[in-house]
Amino acid sequence: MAHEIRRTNRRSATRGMVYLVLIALSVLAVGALIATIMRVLVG
Amino acid sequence: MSTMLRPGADDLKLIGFYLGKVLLGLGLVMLVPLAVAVATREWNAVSEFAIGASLCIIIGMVSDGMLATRRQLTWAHGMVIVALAWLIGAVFAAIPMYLSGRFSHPLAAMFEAMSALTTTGMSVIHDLDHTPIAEDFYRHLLQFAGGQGIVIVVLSLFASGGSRVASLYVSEARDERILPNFIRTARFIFLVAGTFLVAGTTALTLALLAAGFTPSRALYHGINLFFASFDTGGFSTMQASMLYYHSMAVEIVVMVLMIAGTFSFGLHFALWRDDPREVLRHLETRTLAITSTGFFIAVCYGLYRAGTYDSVEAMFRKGLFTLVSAVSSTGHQVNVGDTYLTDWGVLAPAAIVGAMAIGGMASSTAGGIKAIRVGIAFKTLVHDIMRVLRPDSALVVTTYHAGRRRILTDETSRAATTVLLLFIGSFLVGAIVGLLYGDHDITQTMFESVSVGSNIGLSIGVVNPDMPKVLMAVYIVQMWLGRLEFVAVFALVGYVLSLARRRSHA
Repeated sequence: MAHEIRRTNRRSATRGMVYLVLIALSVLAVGALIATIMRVLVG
Repeated sequence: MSTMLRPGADDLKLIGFYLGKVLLGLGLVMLVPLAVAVATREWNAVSEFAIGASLCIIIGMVSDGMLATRRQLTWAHGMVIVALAWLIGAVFAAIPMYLSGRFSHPLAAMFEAMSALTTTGMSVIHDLDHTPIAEDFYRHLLQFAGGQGIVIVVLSLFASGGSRVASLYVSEARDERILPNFIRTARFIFLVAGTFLVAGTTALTLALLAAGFTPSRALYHGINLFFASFDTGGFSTMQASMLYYHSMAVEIVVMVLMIAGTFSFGLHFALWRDDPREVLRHLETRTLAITSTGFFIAVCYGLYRAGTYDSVEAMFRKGLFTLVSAVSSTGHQVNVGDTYLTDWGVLAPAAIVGAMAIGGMASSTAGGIKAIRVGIAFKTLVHDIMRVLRPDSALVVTTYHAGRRRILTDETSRAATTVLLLFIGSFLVGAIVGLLYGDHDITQTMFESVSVGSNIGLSIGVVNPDMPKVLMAVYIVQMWLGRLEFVAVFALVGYVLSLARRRSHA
């Protein structure tokens, strides 16, 4: 039982981290997009 | 009558008992750099940490034996303990730092310790580039201890289970035992931090290897960078901060870690439970997304107009990195301090100051006013406008999403706006004292004051090893207030006042 719980925890830990990394990378992608748009508009 | 207003000898013993436990923990933390110093044969550092650790551990054990009491821990005690823990913790954490001889005076060592424990990241150390490995590791480790510590405190004490983060005072559940909550929360937080520690350090070490570091140096810098980034601290191993690495890969990994660090543990928890939609619906994420997008557009506009950078790559590496560093309250620098004054024009630094003031999410290691308070303040404004526009008989109900759908109450609004005002007050006081002591203008002192008061760590150059002592003391108080979001410190002040009143009556 305890083994089961640990395994589920490990799996959800990995999932949580993957989600967060994806969110963070999409933030950076949006940043790059804004920089490009602003470059065209202002530069 | 709560114990808060009539403290007795038992209450003081209880507070001393738990402070002893905090010092015992700090002593154990010091054993880690002690082991590092032995391994790297830095004998001076060995003696510093041996003295610091033994002092903390002895006091901790003595208080454990002498101050045990049957009185139960209440929320009021908890607040007082937390406020004192960060203050006394900083004093004791400063001991090995001062013994290293790298600080001008004891207050400077305490500034550094407070900066580390509150995850601010401002540094007044002399000759950082030649600091022994163990001493440098210790500074970074303190950020981790202070950072994870505050998250546990906020989640289990201030928020009583994470439901009332926005409330100024926890008015209910006062006498409920808080320890089980504490332990459960602590376990989850260290699970998340541990997972990120392994993954983040690995990613950083690989990026540093690719940048040409030797494996041992890559690992050493990787671990320190992880502590400084995930705990949104912002210390760095080298004086040049992130500029030292000249590596896009390192900067991207650090940005990802900073963003992960600014996420509240409520959202971490939602993601672990496979509920990514919660992130999109949460008032705090939405507020942060909207304000940060606005600030980044302002930064880009300001920098392109000032002609500072003209490529998208430079904007990404300088502009976006600095903004993420500001919003997450980390304070890693990709610019030399003066650059904000000399090259950045007016609009871009102003946007950075705005981002620093708002800071990250509540119940994370990020500092600042916090996005949830800004979001609630905005909802309150909309709510009030709606009330004016609708007929008198109409019932106006405003809701927001934070974990679940909530109704905006007057109490929540008042608490959020009060803390928001207190933060602004702290920024102003710091800026004015900066003007009185030292020869900087209002732009510089405002930038620095917001950075210190929000526990950010970006510096325009006012903070330096030889800054005036009064200003240093004010900044220490600002860091302390900002980290504890005023509440716990006010509880402490109230407690001390009631003690004094009791004495005078007796």
